Amino acid sequence: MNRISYSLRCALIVDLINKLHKHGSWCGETHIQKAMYISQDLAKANFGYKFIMYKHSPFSFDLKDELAAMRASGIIEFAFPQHGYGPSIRVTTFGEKVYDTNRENIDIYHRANEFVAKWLATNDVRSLEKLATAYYVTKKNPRDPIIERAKKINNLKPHVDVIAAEEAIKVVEKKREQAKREISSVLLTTF
Amino acid sequence: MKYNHEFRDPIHTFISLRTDERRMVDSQPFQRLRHIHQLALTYLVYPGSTHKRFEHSLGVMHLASRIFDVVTAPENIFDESVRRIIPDDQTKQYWKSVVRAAALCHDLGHLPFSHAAEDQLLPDGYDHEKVTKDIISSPEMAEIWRTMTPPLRCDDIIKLAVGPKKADPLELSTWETILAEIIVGDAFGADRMDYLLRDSFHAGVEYGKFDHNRLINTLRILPQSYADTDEPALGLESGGLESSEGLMVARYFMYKQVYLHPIRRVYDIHLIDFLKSWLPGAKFSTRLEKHLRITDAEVLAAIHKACATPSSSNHILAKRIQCRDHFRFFYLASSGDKQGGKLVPGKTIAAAAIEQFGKIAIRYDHIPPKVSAPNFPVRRYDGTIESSLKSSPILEKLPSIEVDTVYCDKSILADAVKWKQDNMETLLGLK
Repeated sequence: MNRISYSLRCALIVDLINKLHKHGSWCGETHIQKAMYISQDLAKANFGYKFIMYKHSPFSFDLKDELAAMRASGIIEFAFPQHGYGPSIRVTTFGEKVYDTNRENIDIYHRANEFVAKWLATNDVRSLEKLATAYYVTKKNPRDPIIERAKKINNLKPHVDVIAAEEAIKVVEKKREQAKREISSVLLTTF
Repeated sequence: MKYNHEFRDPIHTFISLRTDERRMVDSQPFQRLRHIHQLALTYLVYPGSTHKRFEHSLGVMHLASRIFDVVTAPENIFDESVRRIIPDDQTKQYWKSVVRAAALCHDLGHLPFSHAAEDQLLPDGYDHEKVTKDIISSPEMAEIWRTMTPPLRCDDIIKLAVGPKKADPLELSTWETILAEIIVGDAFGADRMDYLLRDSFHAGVEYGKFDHNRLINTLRILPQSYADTDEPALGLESGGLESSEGLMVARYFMYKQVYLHPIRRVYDIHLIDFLKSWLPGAKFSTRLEKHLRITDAEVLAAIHKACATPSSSNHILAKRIQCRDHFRFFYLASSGDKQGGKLVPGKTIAAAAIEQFGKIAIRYDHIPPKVSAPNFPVRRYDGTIESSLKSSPILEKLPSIEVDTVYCDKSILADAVKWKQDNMETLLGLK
């Protein structure tokens, strides 16, 4: 499967950012990273973002570079709405124009973005890392019992205890089931 | 640790080595770096830029070692979450040796002329970091790691030498990630510090200088409380913020003035054209024994020979480099050119120019916009931690760097300029 074009990827990220904001997200880079990781998987599309375990949760350097390029092109911008926190990422007027130009061609991904944004928007960074790591470990070890996967998470992120890791896996499994029902047009990857 | 050997260096004055580290430097893969230009053919534009990867790698080791000492010194650790990840003294010494070895080896996989030819002349799935990994784990190097005191684990060196982005499938712990940042990190990696200082020195461009001594002395491992995460990262005392800004501004100017100079870039394109024609199968071999045998010297000899032989199939390609018969740029994108909705206007211009003048007369160069806004923890004077992007308006607002340039054969330059003036607005939807 060929990677979708740069313009479409920009529109896709704009869509995800807008949806995260709509559902009340702070929308820092971590939110976009973890949401895109799951959205790409649910949509089973080739956005071209390779995710690796970095600082113990899935992270894409390609996506990091793309966000930097989009900021440089004036498609997105940083804002600092609250003292003591890192930047929140917002879409500019030009970014909305890029989205409008390409929106029809990313229609099939809207539902995955909407589903993920609704799920993750109000989670803080600690919680996002836990859920995304649970997703990653589950995807890699689909047949392992929950307790084994929880131990793996605890091994990767020692500050997440096994009980909290088990809870995160249960949330991920429940959400995966929900995604199967709600994103019927999307081919889900098999755990 | 006792350092018994010294190199004189124009940037760092003296660079010291232990005897067992000397064996790394004397190895064939490392000695090969004496013949790989740090900046490819940049010396055709900036004549002083003839320095090699060899001295840069020594410089990176020197700086990485200094940074390691500063950030792991007990008096520089303030937070319990950080103290937990710092190993005991003996293990710390092991990791210092790994940091020095990884810094020395981080560029071993470079092809002739460094980055210039990498993207198009290696098989799919290969880049210089992958070749670096292969060399570090080769029998010759493995024997060196095995006999060091203490012996070093190959995978540990690989993780730090190529960093988390390229280490896959190896996974890095928080501690290893911080150590990799010391070497190849975007914000204050020793690699970046050394190449800016060294390249500016040799190019004769003052912009690359910044207060690296102050920067190193203020580096710290800090919690990222502003990001709601428990994982520490490499950061800075607020007193070093200006030197960090200095580094990023130096980088911006060096990219504008040297690395992305349009004539320098077109020499890369001509070099790739020559190599594609000259190399068997239009690719470099990834077999280690072949990789280690080929350097800039072999390629330059081939260019000289082809240039002196009019009957050679590579004669014209070699002449473009050897006789400065390079293509001229006739379109450099500006931000206004994107207002018609085309995010990469040069690509549109290049495609139309190829239709107009033919493929052989047109070359296109594109690097997507890059802006380095490094987000790292800064420890303020009152002990609180905040994001560098909050602390520094300069880091947050650094301009972007982008290449979107169309070149043509100099014989059609006037026609190409006129054609562009007549057609650009229509092509880019600006009318």
